[in-house]
Amino acid sequence: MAETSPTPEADAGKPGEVRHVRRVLKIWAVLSVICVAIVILLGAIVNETAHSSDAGFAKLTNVLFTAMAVPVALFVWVFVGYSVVVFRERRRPKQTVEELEDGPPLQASPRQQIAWLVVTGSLAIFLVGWGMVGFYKQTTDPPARPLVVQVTGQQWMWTYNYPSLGVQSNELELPIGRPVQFQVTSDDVLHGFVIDGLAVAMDANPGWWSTAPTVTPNRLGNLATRCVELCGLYHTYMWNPVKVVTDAQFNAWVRANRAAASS
Amino acid sequence: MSSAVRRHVVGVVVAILVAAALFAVLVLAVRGQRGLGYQPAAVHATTGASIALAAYPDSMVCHGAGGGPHADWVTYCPSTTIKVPAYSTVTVTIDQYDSATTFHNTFFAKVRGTVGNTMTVNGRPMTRVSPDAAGHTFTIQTPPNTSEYQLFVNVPLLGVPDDAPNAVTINGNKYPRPNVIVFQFKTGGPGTYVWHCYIPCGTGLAGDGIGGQNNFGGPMSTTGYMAGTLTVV
Repeated sequence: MAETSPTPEADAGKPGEVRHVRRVLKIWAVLSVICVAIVILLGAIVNETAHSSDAGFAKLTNVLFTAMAVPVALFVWVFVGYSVVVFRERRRPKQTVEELEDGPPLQASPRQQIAWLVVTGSLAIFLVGWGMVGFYKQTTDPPARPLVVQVTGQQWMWTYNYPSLGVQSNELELPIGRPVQFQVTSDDVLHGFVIDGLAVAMDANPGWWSTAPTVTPNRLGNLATRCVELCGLYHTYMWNPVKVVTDAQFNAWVRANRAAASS
Repeated sequence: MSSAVRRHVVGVVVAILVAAALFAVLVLAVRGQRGLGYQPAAVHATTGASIALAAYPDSMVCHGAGGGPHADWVTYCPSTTIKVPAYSTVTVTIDQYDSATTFHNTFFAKVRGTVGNTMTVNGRPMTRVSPDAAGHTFTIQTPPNTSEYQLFVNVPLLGVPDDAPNAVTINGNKYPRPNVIVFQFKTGGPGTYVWHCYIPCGTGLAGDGIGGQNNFGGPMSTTGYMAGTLTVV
């Protein structure tokens, strides 16, 4: 007796037959719950500690977007994987390749198509809205009189100039609770100025000054700048330590730098 | 085990072996690229941890017969691969034969990170040079690993005057009398650092035509000329 392959029509609910769609949805739901939990757990572990409210928002965005993308990706992968395993054409003994038959043709289901478009479209609109709200919060009504730090990238080092304080340094020191505005440029090629813990990211273009949104460090600690544009031989060496310190420590550092500069 | 299953098992095993072999080749290739560019022989610190370098306006002295593939490139000699002892005070002497160029970034015009934040130029103590008077810099920086000893040294090398007469002959090549720059810095534990010249003394390429950022290419971005490694052992 010839073996018959199960088909999607089997989900119609005939007695004794497998309800494939329901089974796939169950697999998808279980995997989604597990993977979203893993994403949330890893997000707390892998992401750098936020040292500003903007960095906290960026961290939340990273976890949220990943968590929302996981079920969508799983939906596709589970359906494809299930179909490959369950609905594959099995060759019977002595059957040649030419004797294999195509499975039943797929039938468009308006209800499913609309559901897919509504779900993915809603997700996309939500993500755009989330990004616009974040951008609005970051750029609207910036704090008055921020501490301006001019950042210059050069193969393969960042240097910092505090024009209001008369300090130049290759280490970035920032006082906690004080708004900081980074003005970024490059002396040679395109560099990318990033401080992960503060959610600062700005291209450093040769011959141009770019201003990053004002950021306020809200947690003491040690961070690092890095270059995120491949900029030559020692690109990976292009980093500097960043310290978020108290006002007193910052003032002492400024005095020490001024004294060294005037020597 | 049926023959079909056996074929599948063999196929999986072969695929795993091929993938492992490709990965091994990839790892070996990447490791082989460590220290991209020309890596000249190391200059070892001798007793007392002293290093002697020279900065020339061309490559005639230490890049082989006829100056090698880029005879007109500025270069440090005799090597850009330097080894110094750990937990030591290292004395560096640099003979600067090249003329001056203007800094793009005046941060590098000041002596930083040396003992006393100072250097001597022809025996005279100096802590900075005019932004248009330096020919090169000798700048050491810490690798991207916060566990390393934080080493940062920047020494601007005073350039010789453009109209200085040739007074020295080295390997048949004539140069002006050099400025002799001497400074000291302290090393921490073992580690590998990079050093580099931060004055645009090279040829076009990097940023050429964008905002006038010229002369950062060629020897500026090639180890063995104006960039190298400093290994603390």
